[in-house]
Amino acid sequence: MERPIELIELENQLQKKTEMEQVLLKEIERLSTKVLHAEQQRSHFLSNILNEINNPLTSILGLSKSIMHAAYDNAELVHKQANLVFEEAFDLDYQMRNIFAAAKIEAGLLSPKPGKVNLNKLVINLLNDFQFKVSKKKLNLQVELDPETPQFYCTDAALLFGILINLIGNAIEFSPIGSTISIKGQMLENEFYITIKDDGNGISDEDQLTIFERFRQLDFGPNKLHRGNGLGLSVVKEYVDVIGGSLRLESSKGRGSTFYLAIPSMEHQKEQTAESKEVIFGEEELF
Amino acid sequence: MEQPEVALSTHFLFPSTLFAVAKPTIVQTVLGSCIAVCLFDARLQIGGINHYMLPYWNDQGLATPKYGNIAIPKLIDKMISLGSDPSQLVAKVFGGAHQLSDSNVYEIGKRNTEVAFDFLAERKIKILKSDTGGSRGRNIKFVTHENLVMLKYV
Repeated sequence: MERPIELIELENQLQKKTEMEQVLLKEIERLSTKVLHAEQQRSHFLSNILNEINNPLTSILGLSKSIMHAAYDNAELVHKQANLVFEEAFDLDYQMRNIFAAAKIEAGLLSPKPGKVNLNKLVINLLNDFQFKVSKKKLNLQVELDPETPQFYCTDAALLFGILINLIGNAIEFSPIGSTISIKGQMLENEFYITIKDDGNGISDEDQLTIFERFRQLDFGPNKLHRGNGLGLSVVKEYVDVIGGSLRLESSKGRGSTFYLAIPSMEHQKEQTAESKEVIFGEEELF
Repeated sequence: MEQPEVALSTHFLFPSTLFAVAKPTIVQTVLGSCIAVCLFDARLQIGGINHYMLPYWNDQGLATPKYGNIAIPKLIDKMISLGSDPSQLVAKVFGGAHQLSDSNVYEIGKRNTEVAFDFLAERKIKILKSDTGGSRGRNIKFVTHENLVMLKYV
């Protein structure tokens, strides 16, 4: 006996509905893992940030108190402790800058401010700030800057500084004691390229996909060895975008890492912004 | 009665940023496949605008207003923080051109436009006017306190 057509149709509809339900269920599952992951990241970030801010601050307070109470003639001790205060404050400042930068980017308030930048000088100033860390870890810092680099290159100095402080800071942080870091800046076809190479642990192909995520640290948890809040590279990525540059990473586990940063001149963008100053627009349409 | 001529302040809106302040301002931005959503509050006579490049945040990197699903709620929040009642906001949507450099597969302009329409509908914000799609870029100026948009194709 043949089944009535209506019944077959109903069955088909039911089948389709079940399939759709399956798809929806999968989607719900995917979203809930995503939410869980986000929640873990958030809680990890909060506990981490507590350490990152608290530890240096406690050290600074303790050290400065000790300096205050040091004997007047004990210059050596004061000098040593003042150095430590600077180191701790430097780290704190660096972490805070990344947090503020991330907040500013996420609020959509970051516009590039192109200006004339002396690139070689910017790199040298930055390296001077890191001098104490370099000597503490007995690193061999090889710096090679192209003398052909123009005195005035059009880019955003603050953003470029933010990019380099993170890349160089990471290279120093993740380099083993006594190893070599090489930094090379050169002009190629009117674009400035900077390469930062370290002999650290390297980053596996798999990890390379995630290191630019926010709050991501390959070394995390209560026993982590390295400082940081996991924002640095996510800030770097956005900064590179804003100055119109590009960043490439070459690395493999155990073989060190090399970051290649290309910084195009922002002269063109400067012209575009200047255009906004004109009030007469010659509009074609009004809305 | 004649109003004295006062030069309005201007702001150039970069991609991935947003702008909403109480002060009357002419905001200019250049759109290709990107979208700019202009919100306006008639009671307070204030406006705000964003400029996003991609439809959805991919859950990696920073949650910036580069993405439509971040940029639109952020702009609404900004308007609320300026004193707006979200149910009173009205919108204008521009951009979402089909760029030749875009591969057909992604249709970023189209997807960007869809996000704006879907999201504003979800928040029950009425779209007064829009000019989206096509193949030409748009240079727009938004006069925030008058809800006036001057558009020039580029």
